[in-house]
Amino acid sequence: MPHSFEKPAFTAALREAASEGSLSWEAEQRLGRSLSLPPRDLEGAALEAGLKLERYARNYRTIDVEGQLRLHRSRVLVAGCGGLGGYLVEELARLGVGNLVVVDPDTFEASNLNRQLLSSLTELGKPKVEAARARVRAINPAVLVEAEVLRLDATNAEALLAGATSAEGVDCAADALDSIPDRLMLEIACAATKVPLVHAAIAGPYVQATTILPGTGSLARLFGKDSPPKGIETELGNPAYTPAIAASIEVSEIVRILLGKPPALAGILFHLDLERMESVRLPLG
Amino acid sequence: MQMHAGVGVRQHDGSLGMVPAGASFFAFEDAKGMDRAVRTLSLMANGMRLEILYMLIEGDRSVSELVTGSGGSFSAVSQQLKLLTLGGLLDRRRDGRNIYYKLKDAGVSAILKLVEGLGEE
Repeated sequence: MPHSFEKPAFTAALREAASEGSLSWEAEQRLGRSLSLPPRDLEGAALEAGLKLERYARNYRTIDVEGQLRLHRSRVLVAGCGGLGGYLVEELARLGVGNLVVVDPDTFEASNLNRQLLSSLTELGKPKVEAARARVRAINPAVLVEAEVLRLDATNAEALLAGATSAEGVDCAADALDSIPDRLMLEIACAATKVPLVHAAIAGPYVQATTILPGTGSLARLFGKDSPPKGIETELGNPAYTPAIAASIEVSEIVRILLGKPPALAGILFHLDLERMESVRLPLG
Repeated sequence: MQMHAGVGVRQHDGSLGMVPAGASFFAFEDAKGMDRAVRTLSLMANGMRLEILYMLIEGDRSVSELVTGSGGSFSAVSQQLKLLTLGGLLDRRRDGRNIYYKLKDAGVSAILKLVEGLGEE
Protein backbone atom coordinates (compact mmCIF):
# COMPACT_ATOMS: atom_id res chain seq x y z
CA MET A 1 0.00 0.00 0.00
CA PRO A 2 1.43 3.45 -0.86
CA HIS A 3 2.74 5.41 2.11
CA SER A 4 1.11 8.59 0.87
CA PHE A 5 -2.31 7.11 1.59
CA GLU A 6 -3.67 6.91 5.11
CA LYS A 7 -5.01 3.45 5.81
CA PRO A 8 -8.21 4.52 7.63
CA ALA A 9 -9.14 6.87 4.79
CA PHE A 10 -8.34 4.12 2.32
CA THR A 11 -10.50 1.61 4.18
CA ALA A 12 -13.32 4.17 4.22
CA ALA A 13 -13.03 4.62 0.45
CA LEU A 14 -13.23 0.84 0.00
CA ARG A 15 -16.28 0.55 2.26
CA GLU A 16 -17.96 3.38 0.41
CA ALA A 17 -17.37 1.69 -2.93
CA ALA A 18 -18.74 -1.60 -1.58
CA SER A 19 -22.36 -2.59 -1.67
CA GLU A 20 -23.71 -4.82 1.12
CA GLY A 21 -20.17 -5.68 2.21
CA SER A 22 -19.13 -6.76 -1.24
CA LEU A 23 -16.89 -5.03 -3.77
CA SER A 24 -17.91 -5.52 -7.41
CA TRP A 25 -15.26 -6.15 -10.02
CA GLU A 26 -16.11 -2.80 -11.66
CA ALA A 27 -15.74 -0.93 -8.35
CA GLU A 28 -12.45 -2.73 -7.72
CA GLN A 29 -11.08 -1.64 -11.12
CA ARG A 30 -12.38 1.92 -10.68
CA LEU A 31 -10.76 2.27 -7.26
CA GLY A 32 -7.54 0.77 -8.51
CA ARG A 33 -7.36 3.40 -11.24
CA SER A 34 -8.34 6.37 -9.09
CA LEU A 35 -5.96 5.44 -6.27
CA SER A 36 -3.20 4.12 -8.58
CA LEU A 37 -3.13 0.89 -6.64
CA PRO A 38 -2.03 -2.40 -8.20
CA PRO A 39 -4.75 -5.10 -8.08
CA ARG A 40 -2.82 -7.12 -5.53
CA ASP A 41 -2.64 -4.27 -2.97
CA LEU A 42 -6.26 -3.36 -3.54
CA GLU A 43 -7.40 -6.93 -2.97
CA GLY A 44 -5.36 -7.22 0.21
CA ALA A 45 -6.76 -3.96 1.57
CA ALA A 46 -10.35 -4.92 0.73
CA LEU A 47 -10.03 -8.32 2.40
CA GLU A 48 -8.35 -6.75 5.42
CA ALA A 49 -11.33 -4.40 5.66
CA GLY A 50 -13.55 -7.50 5.80
CA LEU A 51 -15.04 -6.94 2.36
CA LYS A 52 -16.08 -9.70 0.03
CA LEU A 53 -14.90 -9.47 -3.56
CA GLU A 54 -17.25 -10.26 -6.41
CA ARG A 55 -14.57 -12.28 -8.15
CA TYR A 56 -14.52 -14.71 -5.21
CA ALA A 57 -18.31 -14.74 -4.75
CA ARG A 58 -18.47 -18.47 -5.48
CA ASN A 59 -15.62 -19.17 -3.05
CA TYR A 60 -17.44 -17.84 -0.01
CA ARG A 61 -19.64 -20.81 0.82
CA THR A 62 -16.42 -22.78 1.19
CA ILE A 63 -13.88 -20.09 2.07
CA ASP A 64 -14.91 -17.08 4.18
CA VAL A 65 -13.38 -13.57 3.92
CA GLU A 66 -10.83 -14.37 6.59
CA GLY A 67 -9.85 -17.54 4.72
CA GLN A 68 -9.69 -15.61 1.48
CA LEU A 69 -7.27 -13.18 3.16
CA ARG A 70 -5.16 -16.13 4.30
CA LEU A 71 -5.04 -17.43 0.73
CA HIS A 72 -4.15 -13.94 -0.52
CA ARG A 73 -1.17 -13.87 1.85
CA SER A 74 -0.06 -17.43 1.09
CA ARG A 75 2.84 -18.58 -1.03
CA VAL A 76 2.90 -21.95 -2.79
CA LEU A 77 5.74 -23.59 -4.69
CA VAL A 78 4.52 -25.37 -7.81
CA ALA A 79 7.35 -27.76 -8.68
CA GLY A 80 6.90 -28.59 -12.35
CA CYS A 81 4.66 -26.86 -14.86
CA GLY A 82 3.56 -29.70 -17.12
CA GLY A 83 0.45 -31.85 -16.89
CA LEU A 84 -0.17 -31.42 -13.17
CA GLY A 85 1.52 -28.03 -12.80
CA GLY A 86 -0.64 -26.27 -15.40
CA TYR A 87 -3.85 -27.24 -13.64
CA LEU A 88 -2.33 -26.43 -10.24
CA VAL A 89 -1.45 -22.90 -11.38
CA GLU A 90 -4.90 -22.42 -12.92
CA GLU A 91 -6.84 -23.52 -9.84
CA LEU A 92 -4.59 -21.81 -7.28
CA ALA A 93 -4.84 -18.51 -9.20
CA ARG A 94 -8.61 -18.73 -9.53
CA LEU A 95 -8.93 -19.50 -5.83
CA GLY A 96 -6.89 -16.40 -5.04
CA VAL A 97 -3.70 -17.90 -3.61
CA GLY A 98 -1.62 -14.73 -3.66
CA ASN A 99 1.90 -15.90 -4.48
CA LEU A 100 2.92 -18.73 -6.74
CA VAL A 101 6.51 -19.81 -7.31
CA VAL A 102 6.43 -21.87 -10.50
CA VAL A 103 9.53 -23.83 -11.46
CA ASP A 104 10.18 -25.78 -14.64
CA PRO A 105 13.19 -25.84 -16.99
CA ASP A 106 11.25 -26.93 -20.09
CA THR A 107 9.61 -25.39 -23.13
CA PHE A 108 6.36 -26.67 -24.64
CA GLU A 109 6.46 -29.45 -27.22
CA ALA A 110 3.73 -30.81 -29.48
CA SER A 111 3.47 -33.95 -27.35
CA ASN A 112 2.31 -31.77 -24.42
CA LEU A 113 -0.81 -30.61 -26.27
CA ASN A 114 -2.92 -33.67 -25.33
CA ARG A 115 -3.01 -32.76 -21.64
CA GLN A 116 -1.01 -29.73 -20.53
CA LEU A 117 -3.47 -26.94 -19.88
CA LEU A 118 -1.04 -24.10 -20.55
CA SER A 119 0.24 -25.54 -23.82
CA SER A 120 -1.11 -24.21 -27.10
CA LEU A 121 0.10 -23.91 -30.67
CA THR A 122 1.40 -20.41 -30.07
CA GLU A 123 3.29 -21.52 -26.94
CA LEU A 124 5.30 -24.30 -28.62
CA GLY A 125 9.01 -23.76 -28.02
CA LYS A 126 8.38 -21.23 -25.24
CA PRO A 127 9.12 -21.71 -21.53
CA LYS A 128 6.28 -23.34 -19.61
CA VAL A 129 6.63 -21.07 -16.60
CA GLU A 130 6.24 -17.96 -18.79
CA ALA A 131 2.93 -19.35 -20.04
CA ALA A 132 1.94 -19.80 -16.38
CA ARG A 133 2.76 -16.20 -15.60
CA ALA A 134 0.78 -14.93 -18.61
CA ARG A 135 -2.19 -17.17 -17.79
CA VAL A 136 -2.36 -15.99 -14.19
CA ARG A 137 -2.14 -12.35 -15.23
CA ALA A 138 -5.09 -12.94 -17.56
CA ILE A 139 -7.17 -14.69 -14.87
CA ASN A 140 -6.28 -12.95 -11.64
CA PRO A 141 -3.89 -9.98 -11.58
CA ALA A 142 -3.95 -10.00 -7.77
CA VAL A 143 -1.84 -13.17 -7.85
CA LEU A 144 1.91 -12.76 -8.22
CA VAL A 145 3.86 -15.41 -10.10
CA GLU A 146 7.56 -15.94 -9.73
CA ALA A 147 8.43 -17.84 -12.88
CA GLU A 148 11.70 -19.78 -12.58
CA VAL A 149 13.11 -21.38 -15.72
CA LEU A 150 15.30 -23.90 -13.95
CA ARG A 151 15.61 -27.54 -12.99
CA LEU A 152 15.09 -28.01 -9.26
CA ASP A 153 18.11 -29.42 -7.47
CA ALA A 154 18.93 -29.88 -3.81
CA THR A 155 20.44 -26.40 -3.49
CA ASN A 156 17.96 -24.25 -5.38
CA ALA A 157 14.95 -26.20 -4.02
CA GLU A 158 15.85 -25.34 -0.44
CA ALA A 159 16.51 -21.73 -1.39
CA LEU A 160 13.15 -21.38 -3.15
CA LEU A 161 11.28 -23.09 -0.30
CA ALA A 162 12.95 -20.94 2.31
CA GLY A 163 12.34 -17.80 0.26
CA ALA A 164 15.61 -16.89 -1.43
CA THR A 165 13.84 -14.68 -3.93
CA SER A 166 11.47 -13.06 -1.46
CA ALA A 167 11.20 -12.01 2.14
CA GLU A 168 9.35 -15.13 3.24
CA GLY A 169 9.36 -18.84 2.59
CA VAL A 170 6.56 -20.86 1.04
CA ASP A 171 3.64 -22.22 3.08
CA CYS A 172 3.23 -25.35 1.02
CA ALA A 173 4.87 -27.13 -1.91
CA ALA A 174 3.06 -29.02 -4.66
CA ASP A 175 4.82 -31.91 -6.35
CA ALA A 176 4.10 -31.77 -10.07
CA LEU A 177 7.43 -33.23 -11.13
CA ASP A 178 7.93 -36.05 -13.59
CA SER A 179 10.86 -38.06 -12.29
CA ILE A 180 11.20 -40.09 -9.11
CA PRO A 181 14.71 -38.84 -8.15
CA ASP A 182 13.48 -35.23 -8.45
CA ARG A 183 10.46 -35.97 -6.26
CA LEU A 184 12.66 -37.58 -3.60
CA MET A 185 14.99 -34.57 -3.74
CA LEU A 186 12.04 -32.21 -3.27
CA GLU A 187 10.82 -34.24 -0.29
CA ILE A 188 14.22 -33.91 1.38
CA ALA A 189 14.33 -30.16 0.68
CA CYS A 190 10.79 -29.75 2.12
CA ALA A 191 11.79 -31.70 5.24
CA ALA A 192 14.88 -29.49 5.67
CA THR A 193 12.86 -26.29 5.33
CA LYS A 194 9.81 -27.65 7.25
CA VAL A 195 7.40 -27.10 4.37
CA PRO A 196 4.41 -29.43 3.91
CA LEU A 197 4.57 -31.26 0.58
CA VAL A 198 1.50 -32.35 -1.34
CA HIS A 199 2.38 -35.15 -3.73
CA ALA A 200 0.53 -36.56 -6.70
CA ALA A 201 1.65 -38.79 -9.54
CA ILE A 202 -0.19 -40.12 -12.56
CA ALA A 203 0.12 -42.98 -15.01
CA GLY A 204 -2.53 -43.84 -17.58
CA PRO A 205 -5.80 -44.00 -15.62
CA TYR A 206 -4.09 -44.10 -12.22
CA VAL A 207 -3.59 -41.30 -9.71
CA GLN A 208 -1.78 -41.49 -6.41
CA ALA A 209 -1.67 -38.66 -3.90
CA THR A 210 -0.44 -38.13 -0.38
CA THR A 211 0.64 -35.30 1.90
CA ILE A 212 3.97 -35.30 3.67
CA LEU A 213 4.06 -33.09 6.71
CA PRO A 214 7.60 -32.06 7.69
CA GLY A 215 9.41 -34.89 9.41
CA THR A 216 6.90 -37.61 8.52
CA GLY A 217 6.59 -40.20 5.83
CA SER A 218 8.74 -41.01 2.90
CA LEU A 219 8.00 -41.00 -0.80
CA ALA A 220 10.76 -43.59 -1.23
CA ARG A 221 8.41 -46.17 0.29
CA LEU A 222 5.70 -45.32 -2.21
CA PHE A 223 7.94 -45.76 -5.20
CA GLY A 224 9.79 -48.87 -4.04
CA LYS A 225 13.52 -49.19 -3.79
CA ASP A 226 14.22 -50.56 -7.25
CA SER A 227 12.04 -48.13 -9.19
CA PRO A 228 13.39 -46.79 -12.46
CA PRO A 229 13.61 -42.93 -12.62
CA LYS A 230 10.35 -42.81 -14.56
CA GLY A 231 7.36 -44.80 -13.35
CA ILE A 232 4.86 -46.87 -15.32
CA GLU A 233 3.54 -43.70 -16.99
CA THR A 234 6.15 -44.34 -19.67
CA GLU A 235 4.19 -47.51 -20.61
CA LEU A 236 0.68 -46.22 -19.92
CA GLY A 237 0.89 -42.68 -21.27
CA ASN A 238 -1.00 -39.74 -19.84
CA PRO A 239 -4.48 -38.93 -21.15
CA ALA A 240 -5.92 -35.46 -20.43
CA TYR A 241 -8.31 -36.43 -17.65
CA THR A 242 -5.76 -37.93 -15.28
CA PRO A 243 -3.57 -34.84 -14.65
CA ALA A 244 -6.65 -32.65 -14.26
CA ILE A 245 -8.11 -34.77 -11.47
CA ALA A 246 -4.72 -35.37 -9.83
CA ALA A 247 -4.04 -31.63 -9.67
CA SER A 248 -7.52 -30.96 -8.27
CA ILE A 249 -6.89 -33.46 -5.48
CA GLU A 250 -3.62 -31.66 -4.71
CA VAL A 251 -5.27 -28.23 -4.71
CA SER A 252 -8.04 -29.30 -2.33
CA GLU A 253 -5.35 -30.52 0.04
CA ILE A 254 -3.23 -27.36 -0.40
CA VAL A 255 -6.23 -25.17 0.45
CA ARG A 256 -6.86 -27.12 3.65
CA ILE A 257 -3.21 -26.66 4.62
CA LEU A 258 -3.20 -22.93 3.80
CA LEU A 259 -6.40 -22.39 5.78
CA GLY A 260 -4.94 -24.18 8.80
CA LYS A 261 -7.32 -27.14 8.55
CA PRO A 262 -6.08 -30.69 9.01
CA PRO A 263 -4.93 -32.15 5.69
CA ALA A 264 -7.00 -35.17 4.57
CA LEU A 265 -4.07 -37.13 3.16
CA ALA A 266 -1.33 -36.76 5.79
CA GLY A 267 0.07 -40.27 6.16
CA ILE A 268 -2.59 -41.58 3.78
CA LEU A 269 -2.10 -42.83 0.23
CA PHE A 270 -5.10 -42.00 -1.94
CA HIS A 271 -5.19 -44.13 -5.06
CA LEU A 272 -7.64 -43.61 -7.86
CA ASP A 273 -8.25 -45.90 -10.83
CA LEU A 274 -10.19 -44.01 -13.53
CA GLU A 275 -10.45 -47.12 -15.69
CA ARG A 276 -12.50 -48.99 -13.10
CA MET A 277 -13.61 -45.87 -11.20
CA GLU A 278 -12.29 -47.25 -7.95
CA SER A 279 -10.46 -45.55 -5.15
CA VAL A 280 -8.53 -46.67 -2.09
CA ARG A 281 -7.58 -44.62 0.92
CA LEU A 282 -4.68 -46.39 2.53
CA PRO A 283 -3.30 -45.35 5.93
CA LEU A 284 0.49 -45.70 5.61
CA GLY A 285 1.52 -46.99 8.98
CA MET B 1 -7.76 -42.47 11.29
CA GLN B 2 -7.99 -40.96 14.72
CA MET B 3 -10.15 -42.08 17.60
CA HIS B 4 -11.99 -39.38 19.41
CA ALA B 5 -13.71 -39.48 22.73
CA GLY B 6 -17.31 -38.55 22.29
CA VAL B 7 -17.98 -40.27 18.97
CA GLY B 8 -21.52 -39.98 17.61
CA VAL B 9 -23.47 -43.20 17.98
CA ARG B 10 -27.04 -44.13 17.09
CA GLN B 11 -29.35 -44.31 20.13
CA HIS B 12 -32.39 -46.56 20.63
CA ASP B 13 -34.75 -43.73 19.68
CA GLY B 14 -32.83 -43.19 16.44
CA SER B 15 -31.16 -39.94 17.51
CA LEU B 16 -27.42 -39.42 17.37
CA GLY B 17 -26.11 -39.42 20.91
CA MET B 18 -22.58 -39.06 22.12
CA VAL B 19 -20.42 -41.65 23.78
CA PRO B 20 -19.04 -40.17 26.99
CA ALA B 21 -15.33 -39.33 26.91
CA GLY B 22 -13.25 -42.30 27.99
CA ALA B 23 -15.86 -44.87 26.98
CA SER B 24 -14.96 -47.14 24.10
CA PHE B 25 -17.15 -49.33 21.99
CA PHE B 26 -14.41 -50.24 19.54
CA ALA B 27 -12.57 -53.53 19.54
CA PHE B 28 -9.27 -51.77 18.97
CA GLU B 29 -6.95 -50.61 21.68
CA ASP B 30 -5.43 -47.78 19.72
CA ALA B 31 -5.69 -45.84 16.49
CA LYS B 32 -2.98 -48.00 14.90
CA GLY B 33 -5.01 -51.15 15.35
CA MET B 34 -7.99 -49.40 13.80
CA ASP B 35 -5.84 -48.18 10.88
CA ARG B 36 -4.58 -51.72 10.30
CA ALA B 37 -8.11 -53.09 10.17
CA VAL B 38 -9.38 -50.32 7.87
CA ARG B 39 -6.37 -50.83 5.61
CA THR B 40 -6.84 -54.59 5.41
CA LEU B 41 -10.58 -54.46 4.80
CA SER B 42 -10.45 -51.62 2.26
CA LEU B 43 -7.76 -53.48 0.33
CA MET B 44 -9.94 -56.58 0.30
CA ALA B 45 -12.97 -54.66 -0.94
CA ASN B 46 -12.05 -54.90 -4.61
CA GLY B 47 -12.62 -57.73 -7.09
CA MET B 48 -9.21 -57.73 -8.70
CA ARG B 49 -7.33 -57.52 -5.42
CA LEU B 50 -9.46 -60.32 -3.95
CA GLU B 51 -8.64 -62.50 -6.95
CA ILE B 52 -4.94 -61.85 -6.43
CA LEU B 53 -5.22 -62.60 -2.72
CA TYR B 54 -7.12 -65.86 -3.32
CA MET B 55 -4.46 -66.96 -5.81
CA LEU B 56 -1.83 -66.38 -3.14
CA ILE B 57 -3.54 -68.59 -0.54
CA GLU B 58 -1.97 -71.55 -2.35
CA GLY B 59 1.53 -70.09 -2.08
CA ASP B 60 3.96 -67.67 -3.74
CA ARG B 61 3.24 -66.50 -7.26
CA SER B 62 5.26 -64.51 -9.77
CA VAL B 63 3.86 -61.33 -11.28
CA SER B 64 3.34 -63.02 -14.63
CA GLU B 65 1.42 -65.91 -13.01
CA LEU B 66 -0.79 -63.38 -11.26
CA VAL B 67 -1.36 -61.47 -14.51
CA THR B 68 -2.32 -64.65 -16.36
CA GLY B 69 -4.44 -65.96 -13.51
CA SER B 70 -6.37 -62.75 -12.89
CA GLY B 71 -6.98 -61.92 -16.54
CA GLY B 72 -6.04 -58.29 -15.83
CA SER B 73 -3.46 -56.24 -17.73
CA PHE B 74 0.10 -56.17 -16.46
CA SER B 75 -0.21 -52.54 -15.40
CA ALA B 76 -3.53 -53.06 -13.59
CA VAL B 77 -2.16 -56.05 -11.69
CA SER B 78 1.05 -54.24 -10.77
CA GLN B 79 -0.92 -51.26 -9.44
CA GLN B 80 -2.93 -53.62 -7.23
CA LEU B 81 0.21 -55.47 -6.10
CA LYS B 82 1.77 -52.17 -5.15
CA LEU B 83 -1.25 -51.24 -3.03
CA LEU B 84 -1.41 -54.67 -1.38
CA THR B 85 2.31 -54.50 -0.56
CA LEU B 86 2.15 -50.92 0.76
CA GLY B 87 -0.86 -51.91 2.84
CA GLY B 88 1.14 -54.69 4.48
CA LEU B 89 -0.86 -57.63 3.08
CA LEU B 90 1.87 -58.96 0.79
CA ASP B 91 5.59 -59.56 0.88
CA ARG B 92 7.62 -59.15 -2.25
CA ARG B 93 10.88 -60.85 -3.18
CA ARG B 94 13.04 -60.78 -6.24
CA ASP B 95 14.48 -64.02 -7.62
CA GLY B 96 16.64 -63.35 -10.66
CA ARG B 97 14.44 -61.62 -13.20
CA ASN B 98 11.16 -62.55 -11.50
CA ILE B 99 9.37 -60.86 -8.66
CA TYR B 100 7.32 -63.09 -6.36
CA TYR B 101 4.56 -62.15 -3.97
CA LYS B 102 3.20 -63.99 -0.96
CA LEU B 103 0.63 -63.37 1.77
CA LYS B 104 2.33 -61.78 4.73
CA ASP B 105 -0.05 -62.89 7.45
CA ALA B 106 -1.86 -66.20 7.95
CA GLY B 107 -4.74 -64.15 9.35
CA VAL B 108 -5.42 -62.79 5.87
CA SER B 109 -5.86 -66.36 4.52
CA ALA B 110 -8.27 -67.06 7.35
CA ILE B 111 -10.37 -63.98 6.52
CA LEU B 112 -10.37 -64.85 2.82
CA LYS B 113 -11.55 -68.41 3.49
CA LEU B 114 -14.25 -67.13 5.80
CA VAL B 115 -15.46 -64.54 3.27
CA GLU B 116 -15.54 -67.17 0.52
CA GLY B 117 -18.10 -69.16 2.49
CA LEU B 118 -20.31 -66.17 3.38
CA GLY B 119 -23.98 -66.75 2.74
CA GLU B 120 -23.57 -70.43 1.91
CA GLU B 121 -25.74 -72.95 3.73
